[in-house]
Amino acid sequence: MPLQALRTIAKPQNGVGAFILQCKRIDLHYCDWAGSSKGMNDFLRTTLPAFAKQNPSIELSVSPRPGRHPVVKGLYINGQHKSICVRNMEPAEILRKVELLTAASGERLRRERRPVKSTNESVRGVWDPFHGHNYKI
Amino acid sequence: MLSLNLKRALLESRLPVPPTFLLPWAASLTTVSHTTGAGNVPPPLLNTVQQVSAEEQAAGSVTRKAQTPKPKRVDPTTTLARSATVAGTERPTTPSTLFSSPVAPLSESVRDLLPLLQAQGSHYITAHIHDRPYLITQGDTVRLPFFMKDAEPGDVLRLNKATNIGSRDYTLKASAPAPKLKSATTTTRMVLDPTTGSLESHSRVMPATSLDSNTAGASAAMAVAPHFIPHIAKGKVSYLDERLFVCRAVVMGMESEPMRMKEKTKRRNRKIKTVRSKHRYTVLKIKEVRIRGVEEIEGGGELA
Repeated sequence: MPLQALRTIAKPQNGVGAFILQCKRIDLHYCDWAGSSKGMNDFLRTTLPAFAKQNPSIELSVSPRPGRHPVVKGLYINGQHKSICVRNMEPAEILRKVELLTAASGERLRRERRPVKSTNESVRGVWDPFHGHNYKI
Repeated sequence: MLSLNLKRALLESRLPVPPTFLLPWAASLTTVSHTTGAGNVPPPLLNTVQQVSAEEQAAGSVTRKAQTPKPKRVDPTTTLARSATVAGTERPTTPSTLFSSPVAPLSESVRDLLPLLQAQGSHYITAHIHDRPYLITQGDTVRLPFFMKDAEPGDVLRLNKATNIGSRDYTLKASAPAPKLKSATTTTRMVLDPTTGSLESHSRVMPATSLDSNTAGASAAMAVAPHFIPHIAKGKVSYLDERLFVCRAVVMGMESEPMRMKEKTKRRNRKIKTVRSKHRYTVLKIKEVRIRGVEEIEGGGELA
């Protein structure tokens, strides 16, 4: 009988092969008139260029949003948004928020009880009462 | 049943085993050196060869913690007997093996069974991060219970502390940890003082600590802890040899839990204080779980 290949679909495993950052775009909105946007304006002038250079895979978009508080919004590969209002924040704080958006995935915040999540089959096989119950490791 | 038979067959067939070079998988293994002749071995290494052989023969069935061989789950008496006799005869004639694996030679059971473990399809490993065990296979996602500040998304971490590696039928376990140290006060003894006359006098004697070099009373059973041991470093777990496996994880990013509110108040007191918590956790993806071959380990190549 000739050798037959198994019919399987490739399992997408981000990180096992290549690693792709989940955050693909960050929108930064500022306002020239609002006092709450002062930190944001300074951030855009001073800190943002260096951040952009360090993260070339993220698309950054800066646009004015007059009359409103400054906001940073992240868009993720799974299509979800995360937005953080950065009113009255210093540039260093805003950088921390932007880094938070970079490191996050688009998943909802969830309380995980178990640390390890796996979709692989069990290595030692599922227990059954007929095999090896006398043998203890 | 199949796995039991497999193990029994393995145990029984090991006794009349042909020499290593005749075994099919070990045909390429050789203890003959091609680069270093007996005359070229530098004097310090020669000395260590003789020292190690003397120690091995003297040690017999006692395994030292620092260079402990890692027995698999086979009959322990046969393993140790074989390692003592084989090691004793092998050492003086083959300085090249010591040159290639300078730190610690693999035990017989590991050398025999590691290829079988490696050949089986899937593997799991119990890796320890800050002494907490995680049972992982390749492709798993691990959410650590803490946030790693310096780890950016995309960084690759090498996990080198592990206690178990297993496949379907074989498990490689680390050797037993050292016996628990007792504090000096719990091992205090009442000793009769050598006094003259009919008056008996007892005094309490603490066993010798490492500072007191004269009295050699600290035997292995009565090993005493130094004055202060932090509660973390009590030596509960011993780990596998790093050279046996490769386990890599990628930092995927950070996730946080939903905001938690804890209300703190006392009875009959209307003031309620609210504490908000929103912890952050690092998420890893296990990139690689691989067992290295015997040749790769003993060849002393760089830890890839």
